[in-house]
Amino acid sequence: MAETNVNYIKYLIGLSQRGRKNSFIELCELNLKPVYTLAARTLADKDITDEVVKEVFLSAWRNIKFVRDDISITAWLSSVAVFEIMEELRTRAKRKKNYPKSTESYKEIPYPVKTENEIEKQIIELPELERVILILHDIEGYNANEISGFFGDLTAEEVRRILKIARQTLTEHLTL
Amino acid sequence: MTRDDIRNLMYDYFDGYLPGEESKRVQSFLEEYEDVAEEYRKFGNLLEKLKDLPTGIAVPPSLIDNISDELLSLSVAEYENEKQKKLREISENKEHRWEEKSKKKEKVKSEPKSKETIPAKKISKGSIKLALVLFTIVLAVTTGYFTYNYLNYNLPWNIKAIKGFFQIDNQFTHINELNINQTLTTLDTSVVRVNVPEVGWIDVQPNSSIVLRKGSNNDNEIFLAKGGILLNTQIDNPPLEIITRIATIEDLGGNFSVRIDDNGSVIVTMRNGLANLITRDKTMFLIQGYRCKILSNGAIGIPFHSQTSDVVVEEANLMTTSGITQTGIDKIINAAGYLDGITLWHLLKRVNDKNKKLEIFTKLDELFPKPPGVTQNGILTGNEEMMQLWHKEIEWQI
Repeated sequence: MAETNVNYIKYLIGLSQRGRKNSFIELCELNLKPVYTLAARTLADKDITDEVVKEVFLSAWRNIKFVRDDISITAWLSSVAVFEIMEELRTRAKRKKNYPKSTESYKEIPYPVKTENEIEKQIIELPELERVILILHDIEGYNANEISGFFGDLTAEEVRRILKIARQTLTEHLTL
Repeated sequence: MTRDDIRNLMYDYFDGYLPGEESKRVQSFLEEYEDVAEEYRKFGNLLEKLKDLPTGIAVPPSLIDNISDELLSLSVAEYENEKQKKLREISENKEHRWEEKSKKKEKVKSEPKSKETIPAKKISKGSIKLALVLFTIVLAVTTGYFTYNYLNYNLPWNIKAIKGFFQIDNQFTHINELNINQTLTTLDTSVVRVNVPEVGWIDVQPNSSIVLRKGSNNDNEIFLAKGGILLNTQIDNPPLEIITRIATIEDLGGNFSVRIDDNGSVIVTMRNGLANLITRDKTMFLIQGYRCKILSNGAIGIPFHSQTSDVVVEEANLMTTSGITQTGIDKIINAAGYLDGITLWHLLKRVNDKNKKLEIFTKLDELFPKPPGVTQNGILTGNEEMMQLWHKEIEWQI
């Protein structure tokens, strides 16, 4: 992606902003991998990931006119993805409240995401809250305050506490 | 501080969340407890790996197609919303016009019938003052307009010989600038690049001639008198128009060529982007990958994709010059593939024979299924709105 000509990307964004869907699809293709990876790692469920990724790009299409020149399209799409992922997690949390027996751990996910990478595998197998916080903090680079804002019902201190547990689990399980 | 305290605090220490004093204490204890330091080192390694963690998760190959399909249905929904909005506007306008009409009628009824009863207006000092104020405003606006235009001039345009020599106003020159109303002519083997500020560049091909008509940040215009040019322009550029004797090509950003052939026809080939072809009585968007000929009588030919089959090229060219024939349509229908959607669409628009229209419709529908909101009957009866909707859907899929 970084190798792709910046001017060409700008050109595609310009065309997309003028309503040309084929250019937008090209932008989607160029950014599909990072967006999909982020969603799959955080959600851990293949089917839900597919749906959320679709929603990310549809939402991006609806808002493409707001893309500014000074921000990379990949970074912008990643922030759209985080927003959609958090929406899905909030809906899931509501579902759990109404149906307490619903999926809690990775083993109970009907269509779990599969990976060959050992570290990624360990991350995906973490409990949901630990997994999401670790990915947002240590891979995506958000700080505890920002993550607390995403969840709404967690303080920055709670975020740091959960992050610590996730990190300890990974450090114990992996050969580093 | 105990070992467990350090273990607890080392993550916050790493992230810089600890206040200065506490941070220093953790640092000194880390140097003291080797086993905790080892844990800290492992954790550092983990974070290093997480920064650029390669993925082993495969993206489903069908996902991009699913996104395309969703976008397609979204555009149809948008179209339906737009249509409802227009209908609402029309009905609101009707109501509004009806109210205005009623008000006018009432006003006419209440107005005095004879003009003689209206007292004649007198010219007062107040009205002279008002006239002076208005005059000053008009003067200021006019001066402002001309100053703004002057400041917006991007002239002269820089030129550079890529190959061979060139002439400006029929004189060989080394001056690398092109000014308003000047003619740039290339020789048999020369190529000259013209830089259009904020827009992009134009490569004037051998044996060609252009005249710079307008050059400003709001409006750029060249006249292509003979030969050909290659253009490379940005999407958000100020407008650039290429005028020829028979048509105007409006650049909408992209990489394309415009060439005048020996018969005086203009051939536009789009590599990337979009251009608008305008003749005296017709306008047509030409999308990327397509080529179109405009005949010397101003008739716009049947566009075809640059990478299509020879049969389609030959028949489209033939029908452009000699008119639409049954054999030509049959050959194109038989040879048409995904790249020929726009060609079929144009044929569908131009053919009058009902049976042939149906055959083209069927082929096009097979390649690019008509989107919801478009019906067979609507297309066969030439419903312009449906034609445009279908065109839009073919265009973004090619």
